Order: sequence, then C-alpha cells, then structure tokens
Amino acid sequence: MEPLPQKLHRLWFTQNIRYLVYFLREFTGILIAIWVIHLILANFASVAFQTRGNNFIYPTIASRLFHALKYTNPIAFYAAIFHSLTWLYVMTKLSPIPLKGIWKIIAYTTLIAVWLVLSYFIWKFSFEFYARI
Amino acid sequence: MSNTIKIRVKRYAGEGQPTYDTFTIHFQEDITILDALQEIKEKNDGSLTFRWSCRMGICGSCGAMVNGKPVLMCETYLRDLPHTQSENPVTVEPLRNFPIVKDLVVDIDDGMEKFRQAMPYMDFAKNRQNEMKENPQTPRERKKLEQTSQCIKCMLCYSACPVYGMDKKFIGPAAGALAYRYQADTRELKSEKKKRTDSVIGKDGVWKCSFVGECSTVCPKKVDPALALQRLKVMGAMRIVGL
Repeated sequence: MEPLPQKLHRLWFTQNIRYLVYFLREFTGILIAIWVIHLILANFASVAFQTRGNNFIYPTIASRLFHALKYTNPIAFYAAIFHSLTWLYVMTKLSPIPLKGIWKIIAYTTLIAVWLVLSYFIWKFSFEFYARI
Repeated sequence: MSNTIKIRVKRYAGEGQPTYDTFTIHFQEDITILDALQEIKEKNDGSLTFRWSCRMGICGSCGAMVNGKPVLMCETYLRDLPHTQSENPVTVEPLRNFPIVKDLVVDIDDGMEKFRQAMPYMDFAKNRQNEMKENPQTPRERKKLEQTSQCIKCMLCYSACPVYGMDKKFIGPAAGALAYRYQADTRELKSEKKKRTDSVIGKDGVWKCSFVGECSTVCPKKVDPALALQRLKVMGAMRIVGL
C-alpha cells in the first residue's frame, strides 16, 4: 500500500484571498522588472542613436521602445503601487515590537508616508539629473 | 431548521484514486469535527481512519483540511462552520502537501525530518565551567522564546505553505520556528548558535521562504513561524557578513 502523493494544485493561489494577494504581490514585481528592462533598453537605444548619428537602425528602435513606454508606464505605475503597499503591510509583521490593533495601522500609515516622501525626493532628484544631462 | 448535518469525507484505501463519502449525523451545538468523525466511525463506517489523541488542541494529531482550511479537528466546532444547517456538506480532507496513507491519515515523516536541520537541542555541558552549575534565565529572556516554544508540531503550517507544496526540500515553517526557539535561547553558547545558523541558511533553508504568511494564519498556537523565518534570515545575513 503506497501513500498517495499530493501535488500542489495548479491554481493554488485562488484558494483564498491571502494566497491571491501574495501571488499578485509577486507578479507585480515581475511587471516592474519588465518595465525597468524596457526603460534601460529604450535609454540605451537612444544614447546609441545620438552617438552614432544617422544610423537607420537606432532611431527606429529608440522611437519604438520609447513609444511603447506610454503603454507600459501606467501598468508599471499601478504594479509598483500595489507591490509597495503590500510589502509595506508585510513589514508591519516584522516589527521587533509586536504590533496589534491601532498600533499596526499607525505603523502602516507611517511607512506609507515615509515611502511617499522618499519617492518624492527620488523623483525630484532624477528629474533634475535628467534635466542637466 | 434541520437538526442534521452532512459531513463529506475524502476516502483513500491505499490504491486507486481517492473518493468522497457523505455522512449525515445529528447536529449539536457543542460538537467538534473530531466528535462528528468519531460518531461516524462508531455508527456509520468503522473503516473511517483518522488520527486523534488529546481532544484538546495540545497534541497536534488531528490536523485535517476542513472546508479547504487546515485546522485541528478537535478545536473546530460544527456551529462555527458556514455550511452548518444547510444542504451543503462540511468537507473534511487530509492535510495538503503530504502523501495520503489512508483516508485522513497522512505521512508526515518528511516534515518531521526537517526538524533535524533545526538542531533542536542545546549542549548545556559547554555552558558550565563547574559541574552542576545552573544556567539562569531571567523572565524577560524567557519571554523571547515563549511564542515559538508553543509549537505542537501539528503540521498545519506545512499544509498551508505553497513553497513547501512546490518544493519538498524547503525546511518549512515549523522547523524554522523551532530553530528560532533555540537561537533565541540565552542559555546557549554563541558558537553553537553559529552552527545552527549555518544549518538553516543552507541551500534548502530559510531563504526559500517568500513570506506568504499563511503558516502564521493557520497556526493553532499563534507561533508565527513566518516571523521566525524572517528573523532567521536576518541572522543568516549577519552570519554571512561575519557578525
């Protein structure tokens, strides 16, 4: 009599809401990574076009990659928000001091505020950096 | 309002594919799933097989999937289940991620073997400079390991962990919690703690945990194995940089 192995169901992440949130959290990380690669390639193609002059390949690649960004930008934006909010919530579970009830909410909102402030300064810095170059 | 309730149980007799049998029993406010199964075994089908022992949520024997959620059957009351007093049956299945031996009995050997990797022991002899010397611990120090020391090895966390479901080599939540219990113990020498850290941060160790968090949600003793695994990751990172 052999024990019957049990494999993880293919749609295991649909079994409850917490699995689904986790799955979306990880999946949005992939979307962000794809967007970053796209952005790097678009910048690379643009720089290559500028340094190589009127090479007929690079303007086409650069313009197509940058054109596609207007579709991937909003996807990456919402993916980044969902990814960040879910990870910030997970961070409240890692506190060295056990947080319960209202304190967990306060910690979560504080983390969101810190994230927004940091995001603003990073955006401002990168905006000024690109404006200068 | 009906005074009966239907219990749908997954059956497996050691060969072929599992099937489901539905039993109808008299509903009572104060009976648990375990009580219901015992009544079924006594009155309906004596071949129904399941593990149980203490009936009070301390031994960890009676773990099973009830309506898709891993629970201790002795702590799950019929009155708290959403399908009570309706035509939809309560579904009882064996714990996920473990091979089924018979009916609701699963082979948990693999999970138990993971505890070895946690090195769940302390060498008190090395703490003593003189024979019969005590190893005092303050209440505050004791409190650090109190939560993870509550684990009853019921394996509900392994059943809930999709990482373990996909990769049986993963050390798993309970072994991680057990390892943290000893890492947090102040009575042990740091050299011994380093050995344990090396043991749990290996190839199939704590780094495979991607913080799903379901293990902590289902734990009947509120051990929070997910937090223990993240703390072990911090210890592992410090170990890698030589701290």
